[in-house]
Amino acid sequence: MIEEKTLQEMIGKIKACEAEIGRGIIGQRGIIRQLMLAVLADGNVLLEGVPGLGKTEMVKAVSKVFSMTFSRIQFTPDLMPADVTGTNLIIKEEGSNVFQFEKGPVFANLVLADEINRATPKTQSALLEAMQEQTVTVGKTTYPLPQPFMVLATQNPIENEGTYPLPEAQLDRFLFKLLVGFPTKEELRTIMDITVTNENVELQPVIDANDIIMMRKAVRDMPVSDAVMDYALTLVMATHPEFKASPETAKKYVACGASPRAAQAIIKTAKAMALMEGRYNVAFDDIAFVAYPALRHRLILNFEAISAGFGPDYVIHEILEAVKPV
Amino acid sequence: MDEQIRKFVYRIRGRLREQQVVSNLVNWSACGLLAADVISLASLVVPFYYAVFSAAVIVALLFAAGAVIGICKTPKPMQAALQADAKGYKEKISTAYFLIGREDAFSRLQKKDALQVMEGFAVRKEFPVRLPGKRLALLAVLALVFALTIQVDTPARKEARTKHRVGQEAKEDIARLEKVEKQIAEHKDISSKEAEMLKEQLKQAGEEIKEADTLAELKKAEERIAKKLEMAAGRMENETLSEIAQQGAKEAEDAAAGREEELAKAAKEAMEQAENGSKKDKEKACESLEALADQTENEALEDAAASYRDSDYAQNEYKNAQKKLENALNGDGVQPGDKQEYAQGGNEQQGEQNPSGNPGEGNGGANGQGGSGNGSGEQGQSTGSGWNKGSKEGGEGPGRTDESITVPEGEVGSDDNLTGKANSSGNRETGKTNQSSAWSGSKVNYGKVSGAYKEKAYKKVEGSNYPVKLKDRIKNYFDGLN
Repeated sequence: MIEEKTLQEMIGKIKACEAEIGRGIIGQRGIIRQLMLAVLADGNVLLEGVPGLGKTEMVKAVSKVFSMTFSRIQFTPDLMPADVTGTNLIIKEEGSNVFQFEKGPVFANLVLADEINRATPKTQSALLEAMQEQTVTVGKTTYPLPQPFMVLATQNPIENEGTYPLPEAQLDRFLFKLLVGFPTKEELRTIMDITVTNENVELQPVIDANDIIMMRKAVRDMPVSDAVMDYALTLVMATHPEFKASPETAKKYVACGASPRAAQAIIKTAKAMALMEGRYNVAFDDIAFVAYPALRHRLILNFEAISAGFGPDYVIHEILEAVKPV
Repeated sequence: MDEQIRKFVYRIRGRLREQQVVSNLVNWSACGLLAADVISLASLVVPFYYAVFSAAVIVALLFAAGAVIGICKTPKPMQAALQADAKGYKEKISTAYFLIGREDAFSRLQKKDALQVMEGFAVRKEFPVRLPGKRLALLAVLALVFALTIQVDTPARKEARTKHRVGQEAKEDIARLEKVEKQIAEHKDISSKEAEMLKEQLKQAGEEIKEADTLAELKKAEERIAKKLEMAAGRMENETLSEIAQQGAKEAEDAAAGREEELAKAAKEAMEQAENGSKKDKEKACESLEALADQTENEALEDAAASYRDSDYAQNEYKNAQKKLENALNGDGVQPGDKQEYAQGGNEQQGEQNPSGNPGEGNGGANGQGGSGNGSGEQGQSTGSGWNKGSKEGGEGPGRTDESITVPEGEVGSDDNLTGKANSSGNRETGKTNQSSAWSGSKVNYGKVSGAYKEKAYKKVEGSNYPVKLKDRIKNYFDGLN
């Protein structure tokens, strides 16, 4: 049973983590917060943004502050699954040749799958088991991945030629899809001050893997009232155009609504959000806040929405407007 | 901890209920007043006597409904907690209420956190019981509209009042007739033929009363009933029945006389008010006179009211108006030299009729009533008809219901059918033929025929555009045929 003191300490540490990451990453406060939510909710994140926005730096900062082992895999079309998961190598041992499993880069607490959409679906799917089961199976042997484990994948929204868009099944395995935007002028100035001068920001670890595991447990214990749970579920249901009670926008623009995983993602991250804010309960605002990153990659819009130039965020906004808390 | 949370939530709920009741009362009352306004406005053009009463009932009912619904619609405790959370408390209160009974670490911490919030929660400030200003203003406007529209007097309202009064009076008259009918039924010794005849009279009387639209018509109907019953009493062989009929006649007569007196008194009062009162009183008096004129269909009263109004309350003009009014109240019906009323005989006319059914010769005592007063008529000759002043209700001859008359088939007879006279040699030839209308007709009871004639005449008169007075006269004539 988690004691009050422990919980208070956890909340303090989370706030300290957020502040420490913020020291190394200029701006992107919302993205940092959502990244941390994903870490606390035990989920994987898909980061989408044009190159040079600091996605990799952000992931590195997270791993450093969280004292997590970090590995980066640059996805390219010729990347093979074994390059991700690892492979059996023949090694001479006491005069005989034996197979020994050589762990791939996926064996780390934090895996950065850079430009994931550039690899072939076969390689992309190599990550599936790791992301969902947090295990890797090579041959007949299944290897557990180190805990805590999470995948942070990035993809470039432009330069789509020669890419392999992630299939829906794989997209659904990402807890959040975060859109990394361009920094403001002030933020850009600060970035310049840090990166093009001799000034160097050395980030310090604030928590370790055990802390993260405990925090994840605390998040799962967080109570959610019926009303809040009902709101979250209503939101997910509202993304389905086939339901009578769905808002008109969903009926008009959504081809396929969010899966039950979306509801799980919303509830888990809303709980994490409450903990991050030092509360012991989930609020409607938490649900609304996490609805965008949790739903945007799970909604499949129809041609009408695409031709009208409406993205998932517009549809989610309209759904949030239509579905009000009790 | 749980108890504190529960108490807090119930306190919020109580405040919400109070607000709900207040809002509902205002809203439903506004609806009621809106309905009242509609009724009131409608009653300006559509005669509806119970407009105020109906409006009051609707407002009262909706007010009560508002209170009841307000109480019934009180939010549930969880809804109350959520409403408290909506004040910026991030669902702490509702979660604490949801966690009542749970004792794990998180639940305890959450409830503790919520209690801290509750301590600083000013329930009265956060949930004030406010009167909805705009709606109250609307309520006031609607009430004002009602109050103003209900003051306006229109022809429809006058008609409604008259109809209501006539209806009330008619009810009393019908009750009197029913009483008479009951008395007839109670006496077993009365022959069924006579009892049926009287009942038929009473039935007809009841229908006439029901048809009356104005007091004047009602009064005429009462007078007719009084006469009919009086005559019926004279014809009755059975003494008891005769007494009952006479009593009924007297009551009807008294009712008519009472009405006359009442109207005269009201007119006199109005006149006095017009003379002595303030300008407003005078205006009111004029309206009263007009109302009386409407009710009684008395032209003299109407003229008097018009004179008052047109005079602009100049002292010398009052005299003219007063003179007209006095004439009206004196019952002359008309001013001397202005009009002459034709009346048939009098109340006590003793007409005789020969067997062939021709009108008999007799003296008519002309004690008829004309206008709203009594006048004495001159004695008539021959048919009992005569000229008199103010007598418009002619008397009726004795009943001839038992007499047989011939109803011809309407064919013209031929001279050949006439009985031949003796020729010079003293011979004469007599032949029978069925071509004569005298032979081809049949003999029927007079009472049956006169009833049918009367009915036809009534229908014809009702469908015509004769003046009302003439219609009355025609009806009176056919009433006298019984």
